[in-house]
Amino acid sequence: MPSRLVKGIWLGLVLTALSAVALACSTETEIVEVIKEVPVEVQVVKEVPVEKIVTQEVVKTVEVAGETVVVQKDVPVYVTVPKDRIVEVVKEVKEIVEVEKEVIKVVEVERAREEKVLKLRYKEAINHLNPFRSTSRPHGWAWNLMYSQLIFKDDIAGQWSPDLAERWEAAEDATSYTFYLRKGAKWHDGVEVTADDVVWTYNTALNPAINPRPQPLALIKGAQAVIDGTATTAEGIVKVDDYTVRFDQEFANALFYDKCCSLVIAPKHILGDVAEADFEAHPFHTSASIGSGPFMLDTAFVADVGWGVKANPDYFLGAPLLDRVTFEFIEPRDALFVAMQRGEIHGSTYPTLTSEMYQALIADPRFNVIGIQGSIMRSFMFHNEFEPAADFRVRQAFLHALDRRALIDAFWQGNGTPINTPFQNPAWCDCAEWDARYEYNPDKAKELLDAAGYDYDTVIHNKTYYVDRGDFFAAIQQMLAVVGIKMETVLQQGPAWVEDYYNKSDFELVFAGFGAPSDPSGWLDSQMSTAAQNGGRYGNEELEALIQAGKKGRTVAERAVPYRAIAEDFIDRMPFLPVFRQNEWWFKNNRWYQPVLDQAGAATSFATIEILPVFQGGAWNKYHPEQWDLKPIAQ
Amino acid sequence: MTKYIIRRFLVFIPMLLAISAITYVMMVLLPGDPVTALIDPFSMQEGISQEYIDKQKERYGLNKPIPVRYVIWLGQLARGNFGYSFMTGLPVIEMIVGRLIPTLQLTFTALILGTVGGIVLGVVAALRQYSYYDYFLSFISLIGIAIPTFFLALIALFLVVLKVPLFPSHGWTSELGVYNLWDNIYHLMLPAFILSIELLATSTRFARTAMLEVMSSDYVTTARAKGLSEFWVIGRHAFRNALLPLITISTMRLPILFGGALVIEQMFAWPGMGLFAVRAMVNADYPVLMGVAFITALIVLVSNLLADILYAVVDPRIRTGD
Repeated sequence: MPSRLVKGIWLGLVLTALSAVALACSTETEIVEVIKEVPVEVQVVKEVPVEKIVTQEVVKTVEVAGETVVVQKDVPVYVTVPKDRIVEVVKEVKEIVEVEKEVIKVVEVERAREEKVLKLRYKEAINHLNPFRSTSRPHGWAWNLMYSQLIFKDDIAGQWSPDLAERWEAAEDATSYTFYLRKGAKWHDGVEVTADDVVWTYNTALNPAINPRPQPLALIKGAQAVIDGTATTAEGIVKVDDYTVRFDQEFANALFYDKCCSLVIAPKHILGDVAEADFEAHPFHTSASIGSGPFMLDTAFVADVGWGVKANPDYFLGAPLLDRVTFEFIEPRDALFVAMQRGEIHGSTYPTLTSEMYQALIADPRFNVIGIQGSIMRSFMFHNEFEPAADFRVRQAFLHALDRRALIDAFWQGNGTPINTPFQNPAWCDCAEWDARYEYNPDKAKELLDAAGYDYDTVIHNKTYYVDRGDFFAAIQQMLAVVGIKMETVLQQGPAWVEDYYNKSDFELVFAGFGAPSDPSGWLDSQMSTAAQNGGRYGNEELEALIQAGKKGRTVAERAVPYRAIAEDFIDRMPFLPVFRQNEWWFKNNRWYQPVLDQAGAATSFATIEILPVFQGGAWNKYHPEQWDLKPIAQ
Repeated sequence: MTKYIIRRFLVFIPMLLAISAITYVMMVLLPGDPVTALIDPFSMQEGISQEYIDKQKERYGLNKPIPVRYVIWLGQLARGNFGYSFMTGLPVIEMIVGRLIPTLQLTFTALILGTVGGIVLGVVAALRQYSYYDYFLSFISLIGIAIPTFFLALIALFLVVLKVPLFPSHGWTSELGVYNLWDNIYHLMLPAFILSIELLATSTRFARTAMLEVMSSDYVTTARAKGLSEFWVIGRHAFRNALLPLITISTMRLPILFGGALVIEQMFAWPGMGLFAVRAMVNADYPVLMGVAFITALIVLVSNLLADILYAVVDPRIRTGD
């Protein structure tokens, strides 16, 4: 009996397992694009001339539409005349067969079009779609697809290109900028986009209770009063007419486009009456977002699950080629990699993979890896009040101690160039000479440390949010140990790091990724200006005056004077220690056509990854999303 | 029995209070706060205004002392209000309900798979003691216990998703926002199985031991001596008694399954409570974290109560208080 019981149980288990496998196999197990052949019944109604058959037994003259037809007995005559010419039906006619319409059924075989759904992965913490609270990359994706700006940075043309504004102009003295909106641009609910929306958006963006980053807009005349809470609208934001907006400037400058034009325009008719206190909790930011861009919100946004957009057929630059774009939350790289291989995901909003994964994608003709010109500086920054590193020779020694080329090759797939200055613009940088200055030289490092009287018992605590780069920091620690610098790395989650760096200025040394824009005013504002957080406490009155002077330069030559002064100070005193500048490596399934990324040739190795230029740190994913496409799978 | 259940429910109240208080204190002591969580350290091109940070802290009540904040939260909870997420502004309970279903689906499927499968395999191993079946099952269950869940998930992703594409790689359904039951079950199978493996292995070992112990007891020998068929001896006398410790193990595993679900949900992008809790922790979204902790504690306490009730059902001595 036990043996029967055991057999029965085994049989049950085997059957269960087989059912599970059958169920698994019954579902589509690999992603294959199916072009359906669908029989379509088309009813064609064919209009034919009326045929009238007249049969008579006697010779008679019949008036048919003014024509005289003579017929003889027993000799039937068939006359075909158009119906509208029949003026009389004679009694002698025995039989009339009239065919007015002939219905022909045609069965045609048509290739039904498969819905084009681009699937992208995201992994960063994104919790809302509030256009005034953009804080991370996925927001950028949402804005680019759903919203419009006045103008956008066109990476292919290498210039500003029209978006909501079809043309624009700057006053000769650069004290005002005027934008002419295109007529007929509509919000996703059908309401027309007008100058009122633009004026309201810019004034709302100046309210620090709504927008955490209003400072770049302070160039606009009267903006600071709104930021300070002493006014509700800025006098420099002027509605000229329903389709024209002028921005008067606080002072003549050439930075307005760069600092102010990336703001997405939001609908006044929906958000205009929302109270400040209710603004962040408004459903607009999760389930009812309405923009004027090529795609409309489709699947309501759910934090850390995903959201989706669908084509806006009324988009002012034409209906998008894609039907939908979905963003799915996948955190682990392994799961992302598998999903890419399976064709379940076509790309990612965050481009970090392991070396092995990049290699696998490069080796697979279904994918391509594309470089976007270096826009990140991976850098250290000492706290200016951290006594052991107060002598600038200690900071210089720190860089001399690092074999940066080896670090880049070992931990960043060779993707990076050592630099020493954040001012990577020939107008205010002797880049070739400066970037060669602090080469790998442990002996020189020791000399500098000795000359500075460095206390070798000091343990420097390095705070960083690169929690998955422990091996990189371990290697740095070893290199520093060779010259006698003791460093320990504290891995922190993003919010904890931000609090220590920005809010508390509580650190000795930080390592972070900083943007590397062609004009440094934004970077200086956020990192060094005494008007902002000034996390490293290097900002002072003299530096502040130079930062402000840089903003007021109307030409590159004018801006170069203060920027060069700052750059020369930085390259000697090294308050900021760039380790290397890095290109971002994006990857995508080749089915996805993206006009900017598709300019790059196919990579066959790390060395052949094509690096595409960008315009003023532009976002390639803003480039005409209505032109993006999903190609069929090669059969 | 009714009195017992009511008594247990009353014990829940101080337990839940203690759990919530401890969780709250630990949570607010973590570095970072929801306002700084709004700042992406990578894209630090423009500074955040200090005024904004101060206003937001005031708005979220982060400028009040910790005990005051806890009492306010508790007061709201007593009125059935779990609060609003700092990050999305949505009601926490609404967000949790949306996440609870996938998590319960995942954990209970794993619980059933692990328990039922483990009992069946354990009984088979006990009845065939020292046979090849027994050795094989012992070996497999030891592997199941020894290998961490995340590693099993990685192996599964490589083998049955990438190399032999039997299962989908991620998600609750194939199409975001489009629910289909069969598609959902298809997506559930692999993560639920991976999550169940450790319980399956443990249950197998325990079922085998319990069954062997019972099989050598006097009442089983008596049952055989009475001339009962082996089927009845095993099914009615041995198996039922061997079930008692297994009920304890299975129900006590529920909190561990919830913990394991956190890893599995991340690996397979399963939109459940675990993933939700991790993101809330990273964002220092206190109301969400507290809501998740409270609901999870409640589920665990209720499952313990269920275990006690099941005990009484299986063992009449507990019912009568013998």
